[in-house]
Amino acid sequence: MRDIWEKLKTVMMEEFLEPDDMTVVTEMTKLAEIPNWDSMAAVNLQILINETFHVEIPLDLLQEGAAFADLIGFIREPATIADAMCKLNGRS
Amino acid sequence: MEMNERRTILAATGSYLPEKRLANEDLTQFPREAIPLIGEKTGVYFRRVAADDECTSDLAVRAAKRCLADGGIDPEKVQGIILATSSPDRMQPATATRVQHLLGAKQAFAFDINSVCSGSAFGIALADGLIRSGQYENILLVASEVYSRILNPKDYTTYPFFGDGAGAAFFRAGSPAEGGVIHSCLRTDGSRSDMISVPAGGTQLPFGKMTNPRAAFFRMRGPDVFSFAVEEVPELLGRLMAESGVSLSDICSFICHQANVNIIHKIADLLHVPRERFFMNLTEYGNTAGASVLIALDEALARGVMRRGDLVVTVSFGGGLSWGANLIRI
Repeated sequence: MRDIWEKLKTVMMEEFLEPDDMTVVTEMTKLAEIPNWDSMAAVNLQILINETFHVEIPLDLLQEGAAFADLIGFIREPATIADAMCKLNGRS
Repeated sequence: MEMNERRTILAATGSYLPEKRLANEDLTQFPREAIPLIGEKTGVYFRRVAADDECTSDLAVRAAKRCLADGGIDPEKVQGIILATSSPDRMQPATATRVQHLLGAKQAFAFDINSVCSGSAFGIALADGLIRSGQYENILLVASEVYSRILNPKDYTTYPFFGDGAGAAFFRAGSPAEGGVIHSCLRTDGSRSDMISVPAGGTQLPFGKMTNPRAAFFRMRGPDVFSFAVEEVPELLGRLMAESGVSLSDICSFICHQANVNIIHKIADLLHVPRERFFMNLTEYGNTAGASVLIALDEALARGVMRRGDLVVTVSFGGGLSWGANLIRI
């Protein structure tokens, strides 16, 4: 898990976040807490995760309430994405 | 003519948009599910992209030629060329010098200004000052941008917003009876200069010292820019009206920087001005940065949105941060 977080942090800094932004970010940080986060930035994060980890997380799961810990979970176990989508859509 | 009676008349306009037209659906570097969000968040559905062999000065020359043709103006009679651009051909010399040469405007001085997306407002105010001073009888203002070359094609927070294009306006000395530029307000807040920038390539961060290739691309903190625009632009327009003794209801058309449909609507709503009075073409061209106002002005005149004698406000805002507005009787 630590490895995934370190790699994610590194590529996020390289690709679209400022070093200042990352000083306030931990695994427990919610996406909404990143300075200037919006739905457009979510798309960049989706692309980045896909390119780096070959895992496609739907935009619906990259909304403001999601924390990095959630994303790390999806990256580690992509099979959980389908369950999370069902939960989000109110289906069991 | 007495200097205090001198006015800067908008005598002709022109614009040029490259032929290549990309729809949002053509931006295949982005996930399919993200495509509808582009139109929803920006109002942009198409943009023009310069051909591989076209650079900023090429677009500028085409717009300028159309402008001079519109006014029946001999290029050799042009006394000065101001080119507003934040995506110049080269670091130096000024892109305007190539424009001057290709136009055959042998008598004209030529220089660039870089007020990023506010280039038109600053350029109009500058042209007005040069003409009102009595030193020059005419100025050709051109605004040209090729942002497709400075954007990261993989950055969803910037790439879908922008398009390439150029606009031009020819100003000449005239009398108050002919209308012209009545007043301009210009503002800058350099403390927020990092909000919109291309960090590398200058003396602060030369390409050779770049540690991240991303620094060579345009970047923008979108939500902060939105807040800046909707806070500062209405205040600026209020000031422009107060200093000119004119009311917002007297204004026939607002030619606003084509940044984002939601910004333009919010500004209109905050001013209690009907949204229809804010001319818009960003659906078709995207945000053409410093060129957007002159392109929109040319298109609005061509479409008959405004007529000679109408009061028009041009207003722009962007990197710097800079923002400005001009009150013009067309």
